[in-house]
Amino acid sequence: MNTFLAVLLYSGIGFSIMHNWLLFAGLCISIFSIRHGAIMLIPLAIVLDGYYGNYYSLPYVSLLAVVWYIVIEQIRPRIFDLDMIRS
Amino acid sequence: MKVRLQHNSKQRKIFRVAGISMAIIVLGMIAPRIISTVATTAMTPIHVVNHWFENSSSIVPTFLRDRRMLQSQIKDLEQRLTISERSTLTQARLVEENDRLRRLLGATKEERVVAAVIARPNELPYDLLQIDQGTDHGVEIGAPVFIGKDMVIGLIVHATPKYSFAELITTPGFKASAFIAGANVVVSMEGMGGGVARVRVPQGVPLSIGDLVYLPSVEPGVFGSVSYIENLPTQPEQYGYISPDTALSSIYWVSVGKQSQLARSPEEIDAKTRTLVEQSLSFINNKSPSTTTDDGGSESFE
Repeated sequence: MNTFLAVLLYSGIGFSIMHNWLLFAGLCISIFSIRHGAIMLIPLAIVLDGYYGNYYSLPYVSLLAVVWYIVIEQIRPRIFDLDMIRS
Repeated sequence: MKVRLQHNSKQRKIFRVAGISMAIIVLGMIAPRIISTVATTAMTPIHVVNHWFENSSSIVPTFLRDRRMLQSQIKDLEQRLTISERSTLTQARLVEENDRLRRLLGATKEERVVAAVIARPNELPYDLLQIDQGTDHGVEIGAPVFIGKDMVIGLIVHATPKYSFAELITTPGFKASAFIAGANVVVSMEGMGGGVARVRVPQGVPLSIGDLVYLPSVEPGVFGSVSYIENLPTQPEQYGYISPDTALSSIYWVSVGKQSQLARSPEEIDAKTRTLVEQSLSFINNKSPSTTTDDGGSESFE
């Protein structure tokens, strides 16, 4: 179930970015990053940048994904620590 | 000590992943064609799904597309409704302001008689209406006939105690002065028959379709709008054809003004004035005292 949800969210992120549904994309990215980590978002961002030809100028989605990965990986352990304290 | 080691290892992993990603990005920037080809291949399934979503006639994509279209239509209609509500408010304010200014100028609202149309063209000759109110109800010959509040369509030409006939402005031979709002000119208007009237305007006057046409002698007398313009450069005049906005067949109620609008020619007015003066003078003659002269005759004041 968890894997199915992860695949669904991952597809949702790609699909919503392609349709420019940025709010929905932001929501999906936040949920996916907190639950499953942001490492898988980097290949998606690289592929999206390649698809839209951003490597001919500036692959800003990929760069943003790398920064997002670093930030999320710093934040995630603290969120889980808080969860543990609460429980 | 163990926790610290674990933490350091995690940090190292993060930076390693970030470094590898940056290396791939830099490589991609160096050889963008390769990465674009790879990305296009990888995105093919998504692209196919996307194409299916955008163009397929299956139930799910059609439903989603229709929903999106309906949502945009609702938004558009809401915007139009808001604009329309504002326009209605503006119109009401202008009507109220107009009434107030008219009251300040001493213009009072004319009393009208409401009448039902009991016969119209097809049953009657064209450009003629029969209404169910007559002289018993205050209708008199020459009174203007209106549709709604301010659209004048004709004059009463025959009135019996119980019913009347109204001749439309579009009757052939009907002539009246008209004011064209867009061009701001007063011209003569003539009925052409078949529900159409015509104005003649000199060449050069900016006549355009949709210009409102008023009859200044009837208050408030909007007749209709210019619906067709005949303008040949070889002619000294251009013609504007006017038809009322409401079809004759859909007229069910009209209102009749109580003030006759029949125009009199200067000769007629002169003759009538002369008659009145003569009548008053003969009345004075009959009433005036006679003076007896020395030779016994009598002399009246002229």
